[in-house]
Amino acid sequence: MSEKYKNIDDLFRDKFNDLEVDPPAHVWDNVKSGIYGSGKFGPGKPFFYGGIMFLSVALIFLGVYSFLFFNSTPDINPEIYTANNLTEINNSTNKSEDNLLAMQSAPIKEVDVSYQDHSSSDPKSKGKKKQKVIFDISQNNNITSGKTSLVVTDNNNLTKTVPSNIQKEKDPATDISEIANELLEISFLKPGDDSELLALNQTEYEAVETKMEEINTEIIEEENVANTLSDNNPSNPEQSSNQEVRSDYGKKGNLKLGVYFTPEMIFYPSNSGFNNRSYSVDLNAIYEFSGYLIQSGIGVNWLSDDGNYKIDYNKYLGSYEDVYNVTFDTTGNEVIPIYHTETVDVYDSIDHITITPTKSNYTYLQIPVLFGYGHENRRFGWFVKGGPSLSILVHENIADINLSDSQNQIINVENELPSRISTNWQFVFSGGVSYKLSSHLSLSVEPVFRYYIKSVYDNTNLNTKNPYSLGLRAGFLLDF
Amino acid sequence: MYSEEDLINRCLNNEAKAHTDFYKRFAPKMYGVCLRFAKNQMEADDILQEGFIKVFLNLRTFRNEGSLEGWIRRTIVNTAINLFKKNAKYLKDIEIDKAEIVQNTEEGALDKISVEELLNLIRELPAGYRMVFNLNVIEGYTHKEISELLKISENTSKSQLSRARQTLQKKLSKLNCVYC
Repeated sequence: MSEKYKNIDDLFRDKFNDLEVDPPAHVWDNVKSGIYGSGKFGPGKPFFYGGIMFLSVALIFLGVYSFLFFNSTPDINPEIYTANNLTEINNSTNKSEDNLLAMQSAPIKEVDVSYQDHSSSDPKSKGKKKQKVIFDISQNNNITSGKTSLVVTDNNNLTKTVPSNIQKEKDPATDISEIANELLEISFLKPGDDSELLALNQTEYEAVETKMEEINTEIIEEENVANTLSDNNPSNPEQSSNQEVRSDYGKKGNLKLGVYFTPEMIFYPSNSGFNNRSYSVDLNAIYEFSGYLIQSGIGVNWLSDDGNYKIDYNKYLGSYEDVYNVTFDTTGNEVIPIYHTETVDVYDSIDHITITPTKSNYTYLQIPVLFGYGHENRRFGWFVKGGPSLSILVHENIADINLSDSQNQIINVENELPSRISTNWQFVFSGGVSYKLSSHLSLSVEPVFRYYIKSVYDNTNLNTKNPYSLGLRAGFLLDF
Repeated sequence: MYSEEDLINRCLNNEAKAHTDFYKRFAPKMYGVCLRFAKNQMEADDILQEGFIKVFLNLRTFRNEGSLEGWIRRTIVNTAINLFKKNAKYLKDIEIDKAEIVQNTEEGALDKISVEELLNLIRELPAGYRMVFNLNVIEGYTHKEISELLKISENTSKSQLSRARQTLQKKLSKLNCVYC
């Protein structure tokens, strides 16, 4: 061995000490795609999070809108109109834009035929015996009574309510248009300027009266047919002796609120060393209609990863008092030296390394949107559902460093734990049963399968792709 | 030229140019480390790539207590170790007594050996020899630390190092003959 190199180790250390080699260009390209694709860096990050926020807000808005839309009760007019009467709703103070308000609030007078003038008191209109009127037509559904009122309003604030019936076999829109056409065929006469009595000549009055009688007769016949059909319908709650069935009849949908607890086991097919457990608590709203269901809400998911801390440190050997200054006190008869010292810690110059196990805890926010189908029979029910679920990392708790001797000097700490990505999507499938504890409270149990669309870890080289989990979701459902 | 602290802050502020500067500053040296640990250039590329992705993603965890280059180097070495552990099935214990130490070499001949030739010598070593030799001789890890890192016994680490030295000595002797 040459004198310069006492041994083979020195040769390699010396030659490799300052070795620098330019890496190929494609490596940097791959590094860039690796870090920008992780979601932690890159220009797409704000857009990415913005998209998630937008999606979350949209989902919440959709949920609230669905809730309001499906649970809003239609306007119900407490008055049940009889087919024999034409009802004129008259509000002497209202303007044309207040027709709806007037219709809902004004007292209803039931008369055979009566008209009052609320049009202009303009003297110029005096003498007009006959005038075509334009009708605004709206339909007022009354689900409870099973009847429909047709409201006919002219532009001069003359409001008439013509009853008709709901007949499921017949399109209500057709009814409205037919009746409206019939009414339009009649030339209503405007009252005179004195507004005291309707100024109809006898011939025209008789024509109107005849036409009205025809309409009323037709309406009565249709109503009788509808009543017969309704009486024969086995699903008619009025025919049922079950009080619960009767009360549910006519409801468009059913809203439930679910509180769930779900323990899950997450499996990594290509690397079982990463298998771990998770626990989640969810608050979901479930809307059921015609057997189908939509479920969404929010949940919190807790899980942890085991890992190691790799700590580079220098051992603490002791300390000594370093004299950094000496002064002399000459105030007395003798010279007294004063030593100014400071304590200096001494560490081993050799780097040491230790590996200590650690556990990191993570908290995710979960937003599922599930669609499914189910059936409920008295107390027991079953259901299946599935859909996407978004998980957003909201908190991570990395354990503190645990070094046996706290006096040692830590040079560097490396957490041998792959960091998790901040958001991930899963497909969730579940099926289960429910049991009605009371009329408003149910117990639900369902096995859950969750498939992660991609790895939840940053480093895709760890063979942690496409994990899946199996869990058991149990909870209580509150029925509104 | 930005200071290391500025460079880190700019990287954490998601400046694309800072990432490029950061890579350009440290990649050549780290690639030299990768070439020593890898069996070929392709594997060295992979180690560098994966190592730098880890560096960027974990940059916020870097404490300014040590040097940035040292921290990056540790990360690169750990990446190489992880790759080694993934590929290596087992490491055999070798009797240290049987490892010969070749001492007789022509004076000055070793100076003529280039870095590329030494790299080739290291690459020709079996994976276990190469890993232990790199960790102990170049990176300065003790056998205890190597045993913890590679999850092997200290004796295995020592025997692998001994056999690595023996193999390298033999190869060096052959090279010396060329330069003699």
